Amino acid sequence: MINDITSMEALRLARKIKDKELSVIEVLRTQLNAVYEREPLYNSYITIMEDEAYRQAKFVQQRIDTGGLADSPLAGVLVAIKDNICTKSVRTTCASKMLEEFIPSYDATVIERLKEAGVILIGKVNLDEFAMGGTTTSSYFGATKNPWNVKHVPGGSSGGSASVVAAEEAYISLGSDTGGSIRQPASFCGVVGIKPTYGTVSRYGLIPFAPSLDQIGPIGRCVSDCVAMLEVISGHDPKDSTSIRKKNYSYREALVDDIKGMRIGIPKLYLDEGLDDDVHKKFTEVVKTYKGLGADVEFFDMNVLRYSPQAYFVISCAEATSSLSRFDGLKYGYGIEEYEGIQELYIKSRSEAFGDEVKRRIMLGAFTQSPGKYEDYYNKARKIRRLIYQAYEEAFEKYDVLLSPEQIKTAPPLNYKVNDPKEKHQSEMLNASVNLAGLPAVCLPCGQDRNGLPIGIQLIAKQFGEKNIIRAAYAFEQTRPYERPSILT
Amino acid sequence: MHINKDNFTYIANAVKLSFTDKDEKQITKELNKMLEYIDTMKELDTSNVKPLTHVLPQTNVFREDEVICYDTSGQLNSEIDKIKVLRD
Repeated sequence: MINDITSMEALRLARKIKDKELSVIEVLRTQLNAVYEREPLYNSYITIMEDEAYRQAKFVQQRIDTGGLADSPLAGVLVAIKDNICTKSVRTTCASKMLEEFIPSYDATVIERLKEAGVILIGKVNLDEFAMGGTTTSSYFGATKNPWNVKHVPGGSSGGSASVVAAEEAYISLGSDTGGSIRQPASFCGVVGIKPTYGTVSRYGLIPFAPSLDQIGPIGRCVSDCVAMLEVISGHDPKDSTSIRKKNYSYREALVDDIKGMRIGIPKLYLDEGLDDDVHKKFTEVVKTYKGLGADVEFFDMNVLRYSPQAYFVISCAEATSSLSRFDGLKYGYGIEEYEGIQELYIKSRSEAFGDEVKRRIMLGAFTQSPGKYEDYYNKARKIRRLIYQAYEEAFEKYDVLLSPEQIKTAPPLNYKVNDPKEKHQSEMLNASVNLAGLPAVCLPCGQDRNGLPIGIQLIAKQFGEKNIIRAAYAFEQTRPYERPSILT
Repeated sequence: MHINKDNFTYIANAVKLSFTDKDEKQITKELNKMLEYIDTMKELDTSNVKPLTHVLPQTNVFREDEVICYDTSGQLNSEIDKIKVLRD
């Protein structure tokens, strides 16, 4: 019974609720049972919002019964939220000791939109501390495990968001993506993740990591669910100065199983950069599938992308240094109880509450902006950012979408440490340039490796070209059934 | 070598962080390795390229300077109770 309800696609579930085949409370009860049963294994949730969710469920059921949510395709659906998005009266920790007890007095704009759409928040999910990492092992609340194999990481930083969706502990989730943080965990957990064009989704209430790169997006078990969620959260927000005014935020018309004549470009260097054999094999099959669907697929050179991880590290760390300066032991978050003077309060509070990775990035960001280094690092990186932006503009004159593997290999084991920056380079190269250029991208599953771990692909479009990637993703999705982690079957 | 004992102390002080000697050695090593890698971006010729900070045009958001009465004391008090529960 649990599986029958929890494995359903979000849109199908919402339809059944509207048709009175299921009640919101019944769904919530079943979902919470599954969460409590599975959480000891995965540790995806930092906070389960049981009481709040029951309150919302009763209210949403009333709204549905009185016809108030007739136009809301996700009414009654249970959604998990990455714990760096502010939720009024529910603690928002960023997976850090610094914000262990931080309870926001307001909702992020995306949360307001979800509530208005009758979506029910079921809990706050795990991430790498302050969204800095790709494994969800640096969380102050412990590592999250991959539902496909609990000895492996779920990816990150939105590891909890991807893991809860794959493990059927929520129907959809929200993550945030600064350099691949929605797409990479979606790939490792075999689910779909969309990173929208910069400025499409309000960042108001998203605790910032690198504000010029951060963007909130959905993770779901199919493209249609993600598209429905994207429609709910997209739109201009006067509270966010980087939010874009657009006339139309409707994407569902792109859910068309027809990509005949679509021009797909594949940057060659993506295949030269140490792809794992199984990933390479699956990716070759994907290319064949797209050709079979009638797309014009072409390989081309885009060598400037080779420098995107370096530029990304410099820019993201520089912005992080500034973003995290607000945590001073005074305004909010952790502060030491006893100190002599303001300097000691600042230094001890920050040193005790930030984890190692966060400290490393703050230090790197400060170094690259320090006297004598600014031109060589920060400005150099911003110049490369422009070259990357221009290279994408040129590419999209020829192609409707770009295609790549989402990662060079599948999810690594929990205790695996990446010590070589070059290895990070290969992984970041596939993702970070998309954020540097503010482009939309989607990750979706395309099979598994020899160990049964999911492999993903990435589709990228020009700014506000969401419909192109949605069409390409949807058409590919129709060629293969959704696969669940074997533990659930 | 990019980061040494002197500039490490200078930077750590600027960002209000302190480290044990062991951590300082470890982080210095890691950051230098990272910077060595980042330096490969210098291969790319960027002369005559203007830096790009934001991919979209930016406009400041201003609001009217209006007095709004927020009665949130009740809510904030209840948040304090929640924090007490978290601490227990």
